[in-house]
Amino acid sequence: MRRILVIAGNTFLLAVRRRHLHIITIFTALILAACSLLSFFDLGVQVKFLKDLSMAAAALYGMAITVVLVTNQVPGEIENKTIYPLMAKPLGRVEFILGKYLGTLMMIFLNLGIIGIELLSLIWWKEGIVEMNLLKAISLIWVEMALFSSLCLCLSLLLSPPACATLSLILYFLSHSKTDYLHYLIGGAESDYTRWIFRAFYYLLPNLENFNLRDSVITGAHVSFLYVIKAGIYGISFTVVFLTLACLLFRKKEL
Amino acid sequence: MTLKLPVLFLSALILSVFLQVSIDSERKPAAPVFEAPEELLLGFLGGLSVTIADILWIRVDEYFHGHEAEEGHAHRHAGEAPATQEGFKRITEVMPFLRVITWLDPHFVRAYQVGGWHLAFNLNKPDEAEKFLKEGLKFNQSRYEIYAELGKFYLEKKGNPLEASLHLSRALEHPVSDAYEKKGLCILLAVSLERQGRLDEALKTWRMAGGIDPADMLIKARIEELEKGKVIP
Repeated sequence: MRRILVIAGNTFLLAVRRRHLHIITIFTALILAACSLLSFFDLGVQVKFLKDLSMAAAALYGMAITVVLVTNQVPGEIENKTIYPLMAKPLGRVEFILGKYLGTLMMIFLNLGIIGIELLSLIWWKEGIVEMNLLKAISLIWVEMALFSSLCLCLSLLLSPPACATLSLILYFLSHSKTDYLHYLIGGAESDYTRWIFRAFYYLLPNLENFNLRDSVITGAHVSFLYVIKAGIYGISFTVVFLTLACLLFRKKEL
Repeated sequence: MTLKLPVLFLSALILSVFLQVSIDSERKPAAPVFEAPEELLLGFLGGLSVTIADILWIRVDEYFHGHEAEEGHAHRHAGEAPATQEGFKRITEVMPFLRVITWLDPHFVRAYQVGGWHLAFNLNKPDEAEKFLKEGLKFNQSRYEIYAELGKFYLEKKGNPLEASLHLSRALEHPVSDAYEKKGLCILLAVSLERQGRLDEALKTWRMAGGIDPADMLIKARIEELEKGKVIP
């Protein structure tokens, strides 16, 4: 465990030194601040806009920094040959992958935390309340990014960084949109065989829409803690799926 | 170690399948707004569709405001009636935008309200307005706004006080944060009840409106008239 934490700490420090991440964070923070200045609508629409745009900005920001941070983590180490002295030490490949994953996750969580605090403050400024749904939505964006970064890490072991980034983006949007469409296909399938294929796709691919609470944040519909916990465990279990897959792939990878 | 990872992989996958089943029972996927393949195209936009809807709404608002500035009506908003033939033309041009906004974001209640109002009262297409508002209601049953809009539509356009009172009552069952909006809904409900001859219920509703704004002299006068039995339904 100590070795994993050492790798994680080192990865986190390297990520902190990457200036373009800070630029993305500052840019997102400015977009969120600008959203709150849209004052030419009536108040109901104004708050809806703020919530809509800021939630979209937070989700896209999370996705962007995840792709930027994760896709080049392991391939970068291999390309720069910095991985060889590490592998010569008493460090398992699984420990290396877990350390890398934890380090990047710490950085993603830190940045999303900053954006989340800004979002909560803006809504508090406009509405005078700390919105519970927003807190739940932000915590689920964290889980979503934990899952998404494990998926990116897994893909980065198979593909080159540009291909990995492209495929990750495609998978991100597909995983957000598959729910309704696959449900529609399952309902409309003519044979049991095709229905089972659609069901397999539906259940075996991560459903990122489970973490999307934007509608509830906007409409104020109640979101139970039980739901948040279920979605959280769902995210963690899929993260474990992708991390184990990454460990299996990395164990067999020729360096 | 050789077996541990595949076992972990499989057990996590099975757990996530069970959790998805459980999540689905709590969060039923929304009925598709479109039939495929449009739904798929929209789906590819993912969460961006809502943002695009917002941007389109900004365009709609700018369109109204821009022309108002030209006409000198500084305070006209997207939902108000056109004053001129030019205004009528403008609404006709903006309607497709409102349609697209509601396709992209079925929870954009304001777009349904504005679209329904213009269809019914300015473009004189009551059947389309009813269909549009009912579509909005399908996606926003936890909000009061579209119930209220349908109530106004049935009362003022269709002359159907029974349907109006049903929708306005449903609207008032939901939380209405703006006190003046709530007072307005109570007044409309009271009027629709009066028109059905349900005077006792109407009196109760007028009193509810009076409770929200005790200084309103018109409400006071109406309550007195009803109490003295001077009202002809």
